[in-house]
Amino acid sequence: MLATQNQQSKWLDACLIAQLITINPRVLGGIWFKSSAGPVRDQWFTFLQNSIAGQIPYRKIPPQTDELALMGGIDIFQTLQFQKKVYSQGILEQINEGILVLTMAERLERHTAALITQAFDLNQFGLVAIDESIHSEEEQLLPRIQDRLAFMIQLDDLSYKDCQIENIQIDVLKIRNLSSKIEIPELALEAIITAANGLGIHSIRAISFAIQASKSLAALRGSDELSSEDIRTATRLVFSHRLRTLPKEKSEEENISKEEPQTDSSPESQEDISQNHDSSDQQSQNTISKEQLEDMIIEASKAYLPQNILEFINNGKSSSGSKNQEQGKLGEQKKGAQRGLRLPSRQVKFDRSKKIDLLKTIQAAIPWQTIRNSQQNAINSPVQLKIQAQDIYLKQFMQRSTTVTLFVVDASGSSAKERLGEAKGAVELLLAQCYIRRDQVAMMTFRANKVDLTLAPTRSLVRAKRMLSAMPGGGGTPFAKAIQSSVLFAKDLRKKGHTPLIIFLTDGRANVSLAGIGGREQAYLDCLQVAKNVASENLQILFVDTSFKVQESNQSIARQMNAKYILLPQGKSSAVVQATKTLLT
Amino acid sequence: MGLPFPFTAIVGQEEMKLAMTLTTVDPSIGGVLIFGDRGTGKSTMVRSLAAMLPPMKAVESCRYYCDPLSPQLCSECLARQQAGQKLNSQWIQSPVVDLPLGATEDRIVGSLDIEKALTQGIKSFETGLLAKANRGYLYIDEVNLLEDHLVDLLIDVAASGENLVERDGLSIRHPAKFVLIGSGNPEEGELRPQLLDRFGLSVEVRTPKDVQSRIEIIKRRERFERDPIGFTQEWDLAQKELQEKIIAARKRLQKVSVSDDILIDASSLCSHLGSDGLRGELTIMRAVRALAAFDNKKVATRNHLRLIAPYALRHRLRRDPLDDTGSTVRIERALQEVLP
Repeated sequence: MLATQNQQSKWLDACLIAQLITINPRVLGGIWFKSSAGPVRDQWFTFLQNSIAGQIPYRKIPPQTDELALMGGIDIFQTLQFQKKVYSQGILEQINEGILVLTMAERLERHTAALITQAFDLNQFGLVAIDESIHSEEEQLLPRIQDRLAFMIQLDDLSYKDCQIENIQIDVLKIRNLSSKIEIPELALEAIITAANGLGIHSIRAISFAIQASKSLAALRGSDELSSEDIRTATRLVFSHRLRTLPKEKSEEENISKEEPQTDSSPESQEDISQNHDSSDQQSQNTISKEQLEDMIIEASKAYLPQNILEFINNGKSSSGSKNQEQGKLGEQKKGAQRGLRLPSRQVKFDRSKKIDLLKTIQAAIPWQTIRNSQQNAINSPVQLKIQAQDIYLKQFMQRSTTVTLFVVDASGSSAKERLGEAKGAVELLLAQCYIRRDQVAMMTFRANKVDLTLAPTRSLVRAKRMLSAMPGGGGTPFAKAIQSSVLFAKDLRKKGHTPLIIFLTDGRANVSLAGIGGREQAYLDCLQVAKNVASENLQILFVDTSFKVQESNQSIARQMNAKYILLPQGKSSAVVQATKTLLT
Repeated sequence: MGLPFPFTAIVGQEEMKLAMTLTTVDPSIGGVLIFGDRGTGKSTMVRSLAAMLPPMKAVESCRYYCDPLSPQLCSECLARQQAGQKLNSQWIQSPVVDLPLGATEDRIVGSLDIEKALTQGIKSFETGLLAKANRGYLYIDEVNLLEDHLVDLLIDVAASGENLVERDGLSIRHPAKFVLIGSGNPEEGELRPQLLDRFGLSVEVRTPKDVQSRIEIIKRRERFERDPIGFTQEWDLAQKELQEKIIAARKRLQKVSVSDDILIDASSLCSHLGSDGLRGELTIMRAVRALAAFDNKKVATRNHLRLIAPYALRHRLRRDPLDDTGSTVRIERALQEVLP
């Protein structure tokens, strides 16, 4: 019963968000819609469209939409056909004050994202970004777009029967006008900001969204005054997915509320006076104190805490955290590159971001001239050379892909600490030296029966240092699993257009099998088995043995997976970096 | 397109404001690099810049906004002059141009005007963003994520102030003197050292954490959202005052003397910190002079130097991967040691 109730309120909130975004798309930014395809999602979009009812522009675009379509410009096809300049208007201009739906937003290219955020700051419209990513490790909606959207909706665990829609008509312009007239009392403003601080929400945008949302809510009720309920609802909708730190527990809170009046006493008393001046018409506010309002906001924001909230927060994996998030799709899809090795030009669909190969285009057009000149529309045309859209050749380039050096470090046993230290040193040295090249560094650690991606591929020294500062060590050696995971990861990288390079830093001596059971013999056999499969992947691998003398078992594992084997008893950072370089060249 | 938020109405962020203002006093200081988190007002600041800049005189219908008084005109204006045409001038707003991360080389550098080439068979140059930013500002959000080949284009132009186009059978050079403004979050990637060096000043921004300034920020935003025109008018006077101060500082700039003592101090500070190249000292010298001019002083003092040194040096220190001390702290320490 409880679960259904919760789900129902979730659905009602989602519907409320749809109405809010329809009322004020420009100031609320939009919705981060994290949900996979299904009847529930369709149901929500039906509701959204019912609310809009043709009152504001509504457009849906796929993530591959090109620059010409988004920004507008000279329409080459039309221009050629009519032999005069034809301009097309970009979607982002047409959509002014409307709602733009972006499907598969997690696949949004950085270039397109740049255009959209730029338009956000200038024209302004509401964006519903449908993010279908499943794991947090996967690509997600770019954080800088997330930050510009007021709300988040997650409908994946709702069942269709919870999601009834009513056909509610709203007069968008009337409500929008009303909401713009509402003033927010200072008391409420202060409470929202203090509460946001307590929740670790520092972006000014979030606060602004909460205020705008509460105003729109009040206007939606047909009122021109904010009620505390409006604020409660607004903060629930805007803050809950931005939560960074858990608010203080009750007992602590009491202590703090005792201290607070001392520190804040002077400004507060001043405000009470000013409050009496200008808030005579806001009776509903005066009955609630700032502290009460603050508590209310904090409670409201906790409404949708995920169950694993503690882990969530401790890992810093909040919605806008960047632990596992790469910044979009840097270095992927090298086919569309704008420079690098020239490939032969091709006749492909025109796209403003690519260069036209004029010579080839003219060559392609020449054989057709006699025919085209005798055609009807050619007679009045002053142009000698008749070029048509199908003649256009585009230049093609291929670009060298980014090398990602993946360190796989053995964090097991007693020597873990030193080895980790040296591995960290190597990562940092490599980063410090190679930011001129476009290379990235990543790190995996294995211990007990786990393999973790400690550092996602990055070019940032700052980030690497922060991630590497605290790393646990000790436990068994699940080497087979480490090989397996790292190779999977490397294959993934290759799919994204990078060149992966794996460096194992271990003394071997596997003692945890693939199945996660202790025992040297089986563990070693598993290693050999996995290594054999790796060989066919044709990856570049370096095996740095940190044992004191050459281990035959390690050598044979290295041989099986076609890896280069070196013995570096201390695994010194600089020596590892040196060895890596020989592999790179 | 809406009105931009007034520059003078921005709460706090004094460092960023000062750095921006100094580059308007003396554009030769170089660009400003802004590092900070999302939602700290970086974009607001840049968008507000255009309205804050004093208007400038430019040759009418010149694509590069040539200064009619300057001895160096673009080739098009020169040709017109030689043909005996009179160059009329007009007042225009200084350009502030956005360079989106994914822009193509053609859009930045300029290229053959495809439309004219195809429809009229005329070979003409379509200007790019670099031309549009001449005598103004070029803003790159997330500059640390800019693709390498685009960085290559910028590095040369930012230093020489001239864009050389040798492509598509075109051979054109045109002035492209601009102040580069870059913003980004250092956690997302490092900047190429060569590009880093092109920025004269750098600032680190954070959202103000104290409740009072946050309330003020939100309140001003609210007022602005509700009545952009009225709010802008409210700040009109402050904007005008700032503009006049900048114009006065520009006039004073050449008269400000920077004594040898200050230069020696700057050199010893740079060598103490081991910053690469001479550009650090050069930037300090120019920034100190601009600061003194803006401060309505005829002589630059050590206090000016102390104030501006972190701006000019923060991004020039060689990073030691094994030392975690922040650059600002290192500079402050050095300042205490070198300039007691």
